Amino acid sequence: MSETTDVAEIAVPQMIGLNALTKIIVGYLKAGGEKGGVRSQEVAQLADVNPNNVSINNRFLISIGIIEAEARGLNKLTSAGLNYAQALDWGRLDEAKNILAGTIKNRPLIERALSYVDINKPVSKDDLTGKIASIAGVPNEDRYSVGIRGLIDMMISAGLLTEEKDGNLTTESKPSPKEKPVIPSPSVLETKVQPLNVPVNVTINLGENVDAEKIKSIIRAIRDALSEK
Amino acid sequence: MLPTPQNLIERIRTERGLQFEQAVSDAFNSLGLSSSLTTSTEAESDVIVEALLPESTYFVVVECCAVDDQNEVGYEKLGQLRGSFMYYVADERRQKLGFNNAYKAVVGRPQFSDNAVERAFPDVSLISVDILAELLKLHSKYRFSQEELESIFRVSGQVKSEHLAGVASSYQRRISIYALICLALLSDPYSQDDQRKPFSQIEQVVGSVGTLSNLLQIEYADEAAIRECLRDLQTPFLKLVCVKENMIRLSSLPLSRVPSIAGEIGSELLSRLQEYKQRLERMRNL
Repeated sequence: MSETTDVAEIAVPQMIGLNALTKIIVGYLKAGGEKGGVRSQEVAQLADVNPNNVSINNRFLISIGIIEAEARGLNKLTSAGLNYAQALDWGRLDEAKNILAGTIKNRPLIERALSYVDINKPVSKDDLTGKIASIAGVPNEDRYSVGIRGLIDMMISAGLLTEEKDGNLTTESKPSPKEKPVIPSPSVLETKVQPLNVPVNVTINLGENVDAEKIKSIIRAIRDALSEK
Repeated sequence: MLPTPQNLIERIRTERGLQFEQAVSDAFNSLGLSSSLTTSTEAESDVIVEALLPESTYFVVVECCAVDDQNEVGYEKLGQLRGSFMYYVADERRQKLGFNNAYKAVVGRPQFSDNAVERAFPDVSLISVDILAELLKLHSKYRFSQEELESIFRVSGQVKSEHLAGVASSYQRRISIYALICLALLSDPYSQDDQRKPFSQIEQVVGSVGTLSNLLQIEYADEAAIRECLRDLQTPFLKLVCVKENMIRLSSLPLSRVPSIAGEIGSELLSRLQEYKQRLERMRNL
């Protein structure tokens, strides 16, 4: 059974990988998609991809906040989508990655995929592909798995996932605070309290009329004071 | 065997078509970048240059165009370049490599039209063959790093000699300081016999270099820069100075041999030293 909860906001790319997805996004920019809605056909022509691949992936691009529907059959870039496409087109790739990460990281599908990797890391691409298909409620078949792999590559490219040398995935690695070397604290070192043996001389001048009980009480008080920690 | 700068300059000045593209690609390779002609299936630009070694990696998509001497490289090349650029940015291999920046450049001969220069802003650098030749010559002397070369591709519009001078200036300043240090360590700066001073206090030498730079009206050499240059001169690759504790003197290496060890930088150091000696001589005569 699928785990879909918010189908309206969850969609995966279909039939195409990251390469074509990137071209489509910049295709929207070239087609004037920052000013108003443009048709998939125009985008496809400028991006040099199949028009069908543009139209079937619009839902995904809407779900991650890159484009928005303006009217039936017309979509335009969102402001984040415009910034992302513009940064790519100008070759400012670091800036583009940051914009992409900021735009997609809180989308329901991405969030759930990231938390899955976070809990189960390291995760293989196949495993994550299956999980994303399950979250999106689509069969794990070629039609979708190609697109889901493109989505995973997009998450890697945005720095949300890290691909390890063996191909497994982990979540964005945050520099962990350096572990402090275990140095016993002074209080731990001094737990053994040695009895204090300090010689103390007390001189008591006794007169003829001194009460013996009073002397005893003085001595007792001195003892008590010395035995206190 | 690697082509010499002279050979590359000759090729970029004379070749046409695919041979011109190959010559441009070879020129970028000789600058220490990874350059190759693009495969015909990838897209339509001619050369891809990659810098994978810096902390901030980058690649450049290059259009090449050589036209007759009486013609100019037009703005049409910009359209082609901008159109094909995304193929290279979207490429999965490059996305996986995680390049930090990507640039567009047109290498052209003999010159660019005014229209092309105007329309190159804000994202295309126009590199004429003359500028590329100048860059090859400077590189053969200074061995620019991939980071330093990036500043050339960052220029939007026509790359000019001033841009190259900006990259070379830190090297030229250092060579001036090297020459001043040598001057400060000679017992008689006016003589041609290069007689060395005995070991002197480093502080004293640093002070002398500062005074000489002031006297010769050379850009002020601060103490930190002088000390850094002193360290350069005692590298095992050159050993031009000897240091004992806090004392320093010129080594026994004959100054005339410096170019054979330090190449063109060595030659420039010697000619700068000679120039400073002559200027001091003129001042004395005044």
